[in-house]
Amino acid sequence: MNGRVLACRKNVAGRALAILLCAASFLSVDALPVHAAMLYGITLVSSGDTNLVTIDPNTGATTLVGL
Amino acid sequence: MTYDTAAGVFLSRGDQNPGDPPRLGIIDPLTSAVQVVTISGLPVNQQKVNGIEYWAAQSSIVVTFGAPPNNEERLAQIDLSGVVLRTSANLGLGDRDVLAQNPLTGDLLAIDFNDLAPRLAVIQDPFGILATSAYVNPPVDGSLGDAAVSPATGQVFACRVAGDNELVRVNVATNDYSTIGMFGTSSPVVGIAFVPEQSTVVLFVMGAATAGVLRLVRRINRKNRKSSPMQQSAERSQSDLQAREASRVAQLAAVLSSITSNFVRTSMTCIG
Repeated sequence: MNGRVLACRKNVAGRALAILLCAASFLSVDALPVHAAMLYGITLVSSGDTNLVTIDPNTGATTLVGL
Repeated sequence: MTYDTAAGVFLSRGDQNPGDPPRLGIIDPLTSAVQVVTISGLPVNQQKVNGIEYWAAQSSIVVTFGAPPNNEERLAQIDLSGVVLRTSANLGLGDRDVLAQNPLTGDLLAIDFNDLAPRLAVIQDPFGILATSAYVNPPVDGSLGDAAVSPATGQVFACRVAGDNELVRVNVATNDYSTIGMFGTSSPVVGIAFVPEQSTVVLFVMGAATAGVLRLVRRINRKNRKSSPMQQSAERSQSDLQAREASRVAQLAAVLSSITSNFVRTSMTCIG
């Protein structure tokens, strides 16, 4: 009987842990931004350096990212 | 310019003055670090490199190359250290300044907007039984530079590097171009590349995480149902049971940790 109770407790604990971890993974995924494919570009600056920009494929407008 | 989805970096052909060796620029979007390596191993007198693309369908970085000053008529596969792994025969298309892959079909396009027709050609098995076919043949336009194919729509975009600094779309159905709009930068956009859709990664990871958790829960349940309490006490001690359960939980946590860390790394890379 003790063995059955012990197994049952562990089963419940295992299931609860799995549900918690699963929920945590979903929450962490939801916290990250989801967006469509992004178009990037590099610009050649007069100094010879390059900048990385994102480009809106609908308008061509650029946004500086870095470098 | 291209985005290497395996390494999570942008790749760009470096400027190449006459007599200089070709160079590969590696841009890490997370750190903004730029590394430049020399491309080595091309045949003598054929060391002019121009188009570059990460060909995801073949998991390889390919460049166009040939005799200077402007005869990039062959393909080479290179690695991230710039070493040439293999080269193709002459593609038979004339100069090809640009490479782009179509993520929807896996096709590699060899492009030259100001050279021979077809100005956009599909390359098949370049390092084996080479074959080429026409993809689209818009008018000659010497002001267009790099190109990239949208993984969402399959549309081909190009940047106009001479004259107006603008984004252009290549219309496959009508063999012409449409101007999308000005880039709005004082500096010319000399290379463009798409970064794949992140939601695909998210869905994959969510599915994998859920499937992994459920599989482990089922396994735990199945093990617990197999033996009666009396058999369990006879077969194993209580400490054995605890050790096994601890092992399963650790396994579960390790799987989830691995999935989560991989996802975060991939997402960070995609976000740029």
